[in-house]
Parts: sequence; structure tokens; C-alpha cells
Amino acid sequence: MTTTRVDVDRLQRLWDAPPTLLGWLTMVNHKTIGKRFLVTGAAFFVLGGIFALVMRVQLALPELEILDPQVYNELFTMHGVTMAFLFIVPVLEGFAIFILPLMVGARDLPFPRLTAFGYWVYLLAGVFIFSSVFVGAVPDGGWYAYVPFTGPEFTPGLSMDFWLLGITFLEISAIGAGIEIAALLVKNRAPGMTIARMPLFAWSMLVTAFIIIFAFPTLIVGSILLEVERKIGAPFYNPDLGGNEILWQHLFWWFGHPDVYIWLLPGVGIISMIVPTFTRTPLVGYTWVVASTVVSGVLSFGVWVHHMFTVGLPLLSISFFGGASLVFALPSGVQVFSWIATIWRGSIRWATAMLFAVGTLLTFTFGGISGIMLGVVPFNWQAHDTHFVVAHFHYVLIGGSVLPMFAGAYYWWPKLTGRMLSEHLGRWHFWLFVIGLNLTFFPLHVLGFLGMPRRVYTYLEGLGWGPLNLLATIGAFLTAAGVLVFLVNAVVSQRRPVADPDPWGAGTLEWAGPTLPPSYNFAISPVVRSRYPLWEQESIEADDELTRRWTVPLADPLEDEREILVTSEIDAEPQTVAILPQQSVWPPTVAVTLAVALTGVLADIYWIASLGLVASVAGAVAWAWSRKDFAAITYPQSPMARQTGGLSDER
Amino acid sequence: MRPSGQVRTPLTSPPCPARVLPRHGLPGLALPGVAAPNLLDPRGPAAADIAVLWWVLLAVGGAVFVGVAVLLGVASVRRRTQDVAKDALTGEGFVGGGNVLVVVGGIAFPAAVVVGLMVATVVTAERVATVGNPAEPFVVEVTGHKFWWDVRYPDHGIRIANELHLPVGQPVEVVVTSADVIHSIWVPQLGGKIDMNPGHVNILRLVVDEPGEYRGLCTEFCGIQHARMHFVAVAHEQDDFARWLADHADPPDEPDDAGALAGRDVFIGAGCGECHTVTGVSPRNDSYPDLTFLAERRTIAAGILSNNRGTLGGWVLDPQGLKPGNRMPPANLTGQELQDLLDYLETLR
Amino acid sequence: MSADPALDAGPEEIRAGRAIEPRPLAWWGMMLTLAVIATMYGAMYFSYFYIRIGVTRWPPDGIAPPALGLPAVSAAALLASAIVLWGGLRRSHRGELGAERFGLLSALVLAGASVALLLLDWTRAGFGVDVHSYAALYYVLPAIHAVVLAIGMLMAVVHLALSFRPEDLPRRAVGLRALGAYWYLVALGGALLTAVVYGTPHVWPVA
Repeated sequence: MTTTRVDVDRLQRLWDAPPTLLGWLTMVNHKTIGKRFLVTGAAFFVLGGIFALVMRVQLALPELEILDPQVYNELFTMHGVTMAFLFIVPVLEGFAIFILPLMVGARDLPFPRLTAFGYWVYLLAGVFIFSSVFVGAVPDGGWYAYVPFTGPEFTPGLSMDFWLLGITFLEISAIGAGIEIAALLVKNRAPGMTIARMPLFAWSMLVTAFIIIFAFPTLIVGSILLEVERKIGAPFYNPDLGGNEILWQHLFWWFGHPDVYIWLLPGVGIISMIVPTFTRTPLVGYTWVVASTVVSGVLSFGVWVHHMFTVGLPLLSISFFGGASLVFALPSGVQVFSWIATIWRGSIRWATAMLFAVGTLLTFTFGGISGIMLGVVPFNWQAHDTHFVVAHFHYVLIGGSVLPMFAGAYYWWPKLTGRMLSEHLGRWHFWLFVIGLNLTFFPLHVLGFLGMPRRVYTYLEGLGWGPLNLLATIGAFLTAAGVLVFLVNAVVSQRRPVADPDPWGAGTLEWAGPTLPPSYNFAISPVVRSRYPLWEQESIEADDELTRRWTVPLADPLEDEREILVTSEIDAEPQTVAILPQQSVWPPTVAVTLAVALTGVLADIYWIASLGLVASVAGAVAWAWSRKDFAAITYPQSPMARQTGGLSDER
Repeated sequence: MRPSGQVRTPLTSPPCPARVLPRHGLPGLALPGVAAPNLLDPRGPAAADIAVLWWVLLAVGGAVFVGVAVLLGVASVRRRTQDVAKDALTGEGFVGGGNVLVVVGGIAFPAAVVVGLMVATVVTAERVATVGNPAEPFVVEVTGHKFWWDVRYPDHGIRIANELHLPVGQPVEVVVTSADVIHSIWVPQLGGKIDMNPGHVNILRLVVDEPGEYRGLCTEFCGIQHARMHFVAVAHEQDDFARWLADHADPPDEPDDAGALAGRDVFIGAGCGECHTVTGVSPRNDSYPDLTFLAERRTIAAGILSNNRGTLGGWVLDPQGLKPGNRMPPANLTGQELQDLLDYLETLR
Repeated sequence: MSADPALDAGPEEIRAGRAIEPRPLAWWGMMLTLAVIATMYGAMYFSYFYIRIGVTRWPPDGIAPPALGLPAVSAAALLASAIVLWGGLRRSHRGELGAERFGLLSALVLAGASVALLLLDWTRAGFGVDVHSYAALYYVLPAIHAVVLAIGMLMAVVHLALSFRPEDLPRRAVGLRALGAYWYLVALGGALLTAVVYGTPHVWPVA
């Protein structure tokens, strides 16, 4: 056995980005980029929340005239767009980008420049969409943008073009993240982390990645068709010229329903990581939970028509989709009961993270039940497009995505920032937020029964909708207060002492190592022999000669390269070592040139669009060529390699 | 006929926009008949079936939620007696690892509930979709516009706007489409809703059990005044309905009052007739509401304002103030012209 | 000890040329990207038929059914380009750069021809893109495919240029495999799209 020194300084030199402006722009480290996603996403959350507060003020009393209808319609559209596209998915994928390599024992994601590119595209897409405010062309057709309203006849002007181009741009970021996360979880897990030992958040993200891959492209195609219709009049969606406006609904919801599972599954995975830690029990029913996650992912593609039960489709087909929607009770039930069973088996420690986890369980169950109700077709015929639906999806969204985000924040804050969030402020945050959310959204179920439709900027006095709306508005401000407490908590946490490396006594790999992981995550690759390595293993270092030959030399690479271990798909046996790229200027550059191209298309200035396109292509070529080799050590066995003498001496 | 006791009040100056009130927008708000369109206060068998279904769903859903909460509560207070971290074999591949609670609570029980709900779905959907069978349905056509409802009785040659007159006890087929964007027609107390898609035709079957007036609304976002696109569904006893159909086969009588006749000239002269059809007075125009029987309507501006001289005057002079973004331009009329016009409009019954 | 001694190798063994060759990470990235592209083609087929179902006469009155000559040759050229590319890449893997160059060049010419034939058909079609949904689908769906193909052609041009530097072959190896996979998918998807757009009016003229 060769002796290997662990040269921390050398590893740091290889993996750290220089602390210059250029270093900041070109850096590709997953932890930094993940945090950028989180910060930017949090900003959009606050913005989207402010839109909601303003809307709730307008709706607090009947016939208020604080906002005119145009502004209100822009607000509800941008509230949906911001929350759905610019907050939930980026925060969840950003968090996955941050934590997954640590959780599965890898040093980074397999395509670091793609990670960086994904962030810059996200930032620029958000800026692009919001720049619509400065030209007075804010999208106002709903986040779901139904045609023909959003077509060229009824929404002339640029507003919908901002939506179509901006969101298509943004989707590139999500698709890139999906591809990368799937590749990481299939090929870069630590040795011994068989597929049956993979943490449940990783399982959630693996399924989520596949959902992204198969769902987003239909919205891209639908958006291209609509944008082309708007620009040159090609009547895909215009019924007067043989088009079909219902096509948009199918394309959108084929994307849109799986999209809500992209929002849900990571949150559920987070809770499945937190509950075991705070009950000191491995999660009960791991196999069932994995199965239910996979089933949820697949089933999510089979229910999209449940958003269209009142469109006038044949009863037979909508009954099928209704039935399929009801089936979701099973995988969701498995998930909820596995948490309950785990709590049953263990002893709860009521940290704030656990408080949020329990809040998730109850809120999500409540929202899930109203969802099952909506899956019953005749009831849907009454409740569709009323505030009952608004209540339902806010319960499942806040319960299934936002509360888990907060839970995850309290849990992983030391890993993200080196400090702990205050538990005391956390209690205030929790109670304000949860009481607020119930006060805001519970009344909306009743308002739905009283006939209040969605997307209305005001309502007549005497319909009896006033008191419940006022209650909801008060609740909204309470919820906002909870968020404010969280923001304060986040800021003051940085003045607290540095946290312990494993303050909760957790069992999974991201808690190994120092409080703030070094840029290279692990000097020596950890080795895993159970689902909770820190609980059940004496050590996370390999003890057999065989594996040590893989894990130890990573600490002292032969060349000055960033090395990452590549393992087999099912059993995570070491296979080879891949070389990851260092800082690169191409990801931000190509993101900018693409944004320029899209701006040219938006403004109908086609020489700018062409310039941006050509520059993007050139940048992409430079990006590909700037690597010394293509993410793997050259095939030593291939005839080609033998012809060229194995490893090229040029590096 | 002008309602008795009404005093004619000349306006002394050009009217201010009606949105002079700082907080509350609309004067003369209309709540004919039942106030809130509560779908749990059904007046037709379709809505009644769905209401029953709802109570079942509430019972089942409520029981599930309470059950989960109770289980969670019990689980939370239980304390383990031994140290867990050491005794779980968690790394042995996909072997069992499950638990009775997970399987029963997560699979068996939901599966049973779901099967029951599927049966309920199919049974209720069938009943609602065929409500009133096998009786012969009465056909009425409704076309959605931004932001009003064009209602036609094709077998009787009647066209009205923003009101849906229905017979009690007989199935009605409401045949719907849209002239512009997607709308959706819904009378919560009578049954479910159906979308009105341009280029497509949908059919909503309704049966009304009791005479009365029921609020209907648009439930698919259709633009800036989607919030103010309501209508009134008026249900008549069958013989009363037959009489209504007969009465509306012919247009209203010629006005005999000088003021009303002058008002008719204003109607044509100010350009109202270019958009609005009044049978025998202005040409047929399918793109704007038919005003032939305007004075009989319970509401104006699509279910938003009660129909009286004051609101009608305010509406004619400043529709944008009352419903900003709708397609009616303001009328530039002198005080006298307005009064004459209102006199004329009051004869349209 | 694993069953296969090669699996027991560590990084030093790789460098000494005795390690196994798993598929490189970039291969996984490319496969997942192809899943995205395949889904996009699927959405295009769905859109075509969904619109078709809602229209009685296809093509509508005033538009003649399309001539099949040009699109048939176009689809054949596209499929042929995939075949010659495959041949060239196979030889490249054995180090025969001349054969690779020939394969790339032929594939580029054939793919270019397939697009040119479509463009020629468009100039002769006789109707504008905005007259009917039939026209919109006729022009825009193949145009989207052409853009996707153009990206592949660009990759091929880059490889063609680099093929003149034999020492760069190991660096390009994975990229070439990726190009091949991309090209085969796009050729299949595009040929099928051509068949759908030009064949449906003949096979299903009245709904």
C-alpha cells in the first residue's frame, strides 16, 4: 500500500477560487453556487410575498379601490410567476446543489461549469422578467398564461413576450440542474453507498431530476409555438384559423402538474432527513418511502387533465384522470405514515427544525385531503376556479415546500453559514407563520363555497365575502411577520459563536467533517456501509486495502487537478477518477450572450438577436474546448489512447 | 312604463365620474334574490347531489385528518426506552424495513378510501351530467364576451343579455361558446361550471327546482373586468316561463311619450345604436349586448349594478368609471339628452 | 476482492493503463440531454395531431396537399447523414482520422441538403405561415427541428476542424460519442417529423 499524505494546503489551493472579483465571477464550487441560488431565491420569495400582501390589502374589504384592476392582474400574475418559477424551484435545486455532494460523499457536482451557468441564467432570467416593470409591460395573464387571452390579439405589446422568453430561458437553468443532479446521484456516490443506502433527500432529488427532464420540455415547445404566433401570426392557438387554444392547456399542464411534484418531493425528502435526527431513529419504512417517491414521480405525469375537468372533455377521459389523481393518496399516505411511525418509534426532541417538520406533516396532510376532494370530478365542477382551489394549493405548497425549507434552514444552517439560528426566535417564527398561514388560507375554503372565484380584483358588497377576506388579510400579515422574524434570525445568527460540526447528532455524511466544509468537501473519500453512517459506523474511512486504494489517493492527487471519484450506479463500487474543471469565465459569458439574444428577440431587433446567438455559440465552443479533457481521465485501454501513448503529456 | 312615483331630477352640470367615493366603488350595488351564491344552498338536483357528495368528502377527509393528528399526537408523546441508533440494521438493501403502520395507514386504508371515492365520482358524475333525463331539454345558447353574456333562445327568436331565464323542473341545455377569450359559466346553486371556449361548443345541463333569482358568474380569468362579469339566472314556473317566452317574441311597443321619443333620437344620434341592438330601432349587432328589453333587467353592467334610473344614468355617462377597461365608451350628452334617453330606455320592456 | 480484478484497481492503476473504462460522466450528461430533446420532439408530434383532430379538412380548402418528392429525399438524406456519421465515428475510434473527416463532412453535406430541400419546398408551397394552423405547423415544426439539427451540425464542424490535429483525438473522444448520440436522435426525430408533416395530409385528409 502506498502511503499518502493528506495535504490540506494543496487541496485547498487546488479547490479554492481566488478571492478576487474574477474569482467570484468564474467560480464553480457547488457550495457557493448553491448559496447564491438560496439568497437570490429568498429575495424573490420576499418580493412575491409583498405582491401577495398588497393583493390581500385590496381584497380585505369589498369594493376597495386601492389598486386598479390592471395593476391587480399584474400582481397576481407576477406573484405566481415569482413564487413558482423564481423562488420554489431555484431554492430547492439550489439547496440540493449545496447539500447533495456532501450528503453522498462526493466532492462536487459532476459538471461544475453547468452549475455555475445555471445560476447565472437564473439570475439573468429573473432580471429579464422583472425588467418588464421598467417598460410598463408587466405580464397580466396569470402565471399559467392561457391563450387566447395571452395571444397576439388580446395581449398585444411586450408583456407576454417577457413571460415566454424569460421563462423559457429560466427553464434551461432548471434542466441543467436536473441533468447534473441525476448524474451526481447515479455516478458519484461514495463507495459503499448502494442505491439502498442513499439518503432519502437524495432519492427525492433523483426522482425530481427526472421529472424536470421529462416535464419542462413540453412547456418549452408550447412557449415557442406561442411566441412564434405572437411574432409572426402562426395560428397554433387561434380557433378562427384552425388552431386550438386547448392545446396550450395540455402542453402547460403536462409540464405543470409534474412541476408541483418538483416543488413537493424535495420538501418531503428534507423532512425525511430531519425526522430521524430528532427522534434518534432511522426512518421507518425506507423501502416504502423510496417506492412511494418513485411512484409519485411517475404518477405525476398521468394526472394533468385534473386541471381541466371543466374544459368540456369527454366524461370517460376525465374520470380516468380523476381516478389517477385519487391514487396519489397512497404514496402521500406512505410518506406521512412513515414519519408518524418513525416518531412513534423514537423520542422527539423539539428543536425548531422538528417543529417545522411536524407542521409540514399536518399542513401537507390537510392540503392533500382537499386535493383528494378536488380529484372527485363532480365536486371539482363546483370548486374549480374558486378560492377553494387557492386554499388547497397554498396548503400543499406551504406545507410541502415552504415549511420544509424553513425546517431545512434551521437544521442545516451551521453547514451553510457556520452558525446556528436562534431557537428562541425560531419558535416565534414558527408560531407566527403557522397561525398566520391557517388564518389566511382556511377561510378561503369557505369563500370558495360562497362562490368567490379566483383572480378577481374586487367583489360586491353584500355577497357575504367580506369578513372572511378580512380575516385572510390579517392572517397574511401575521405570516409576513413570521417571515420577518426569520430574516432577523438569519441576520443575527452571524453574530453567534461558530457551531459544532454535528450539533444535532445526525447520522448522514454531510455532518462529517468540520462545521463549514472545505472547498473540496472530503480529503479522503468517505466509505459508507449503512444508511446512517455517522450513527452506525465506527469510522467513515475505508478499512480494507481494496477500497483504500481508491479513497486515500484522492487526498494527494498526482497532477494539480480536481479529482472526483466515479462509482457504479447500483452498488457504488469505485470505477474511475474524473477530473473536474477549475474556474471558468464561460458560464457567465454564455449566460449573458444568451440573455442578449433573447432581448433582441423580445425587442424585434434581430441583428442583436443574431449577434447574441453567434456569441453564445462561440462561447459554448470555447467552453467545451477549454477543458484539458472531457471530465474523465483518458481511456487508458482504448486503442486510441494506446495510439497516442496513454495520457497525453500536454496538460 | 315608467315606475310611478319617480321624480325626474334634471342634472345641472356634467356628471362627475361615479367613482367619487374614495373607498367603496359602486353605488347602487345589486343583490337580487339570494345574496351569496352558496353552492351548499342548492336549488337544483345537480348542485344538490354535489352538496351531498361534499358532506361525504368532508366527513371522510375530516376523519382522516383527525386520525392523522391524533396518531401524531400519541406518537409525539411516546418516549423510547432503548437507544435506537445502535439497533437498526439499515444498510442491508431493500429488505422489508417497513412497518405495519406504514402499510396499513399509507396503503391499505387510503386504497379503500380511494376506491370508495372513485365509485362516488362515477356515480355522481353520471347523475350530474345527465340531470333531468329522460325529459326533453330546453335549449338556450350563451356566448361569453369580455365582459358580458349574450343569451339567445334560438327556437323562439329571443336575444337578451346578462340574464338567463329558465323554466323550473325541466332540464335545460345551456349551449355555450365564446366570442373572444375563454370564459366559464357558473351558477353555484344550480350545478357545476363549464368553460366557454372560442371555436368550440360545450353543453351544460341544468335543472332548477325552485323559482327564484340566482347569481351566476364567470369563472375563468378573461381580462381586466373578469371580476365584474356576473349574471342573474331567473327561474320561472313552467307556465310563467311560457308566458315570458311569448311576451318576448315581439319587441316593445313604440314609446308614446314625447320625452321617450326624443330619447330614441338620442339613442340613434349619440351612436348607441351602432353597437347595441334594439329590435326595430337599430340593426342587429352580435358583438354587443342587446338592449331590446333593457328595462326589465334586474341588473346592468353584467350583474353588477341594480337597474334603476340613477345607476343607468351614471353608467351611460361614465362606464369606464364604474367598470374600467370594459368596451363601452362614455357618452357625451347634455342633461336634457340624458333624461330623454333614460325615458326612452325605461320603455324597453 | 471483487470478481473482476480490474475492479480492484486504484487511481495508480488507471494511470498505469490497467483500469476499467466506465462510461464517462459526460456520456450520462448527454443521455439525459437527449431525453430532454426526445421529449421536445414528442411534444411537437402531440401538438401536430391535437391540432389536426380539431380541423375537418387537412389541408384546409385553398391549400393543396404537399408534394412528397422533396420531403422524402430530405428525410432520406437526414437518415443517410446519420449512417455516414456512424461509420465515420466508428473508424475514428480506431484512430482513422481520414475516415472520420469523411464521415463528418458527408454527414454535414447530407444534413445540409435535407434542410435545403425543406427550404426549397417552402418556397414552392404557395401559402403563408399565418393563414391557417396547417401552415403554422407545416413551417414552424420543421424549423424547430432544423435549429436543433443546426446545433449538431455546428458540433460536427468543430470536430471536423479539430480532426486535423491528431493529438487532440483523445480530448475529443467523448465529444464525438456525444455528437453521434445527438445526431442519431435528431435524425430519427426529424425524419419522423417530416413524415408526420408531409404524410398526414395524404393519409388523413378528412377528420
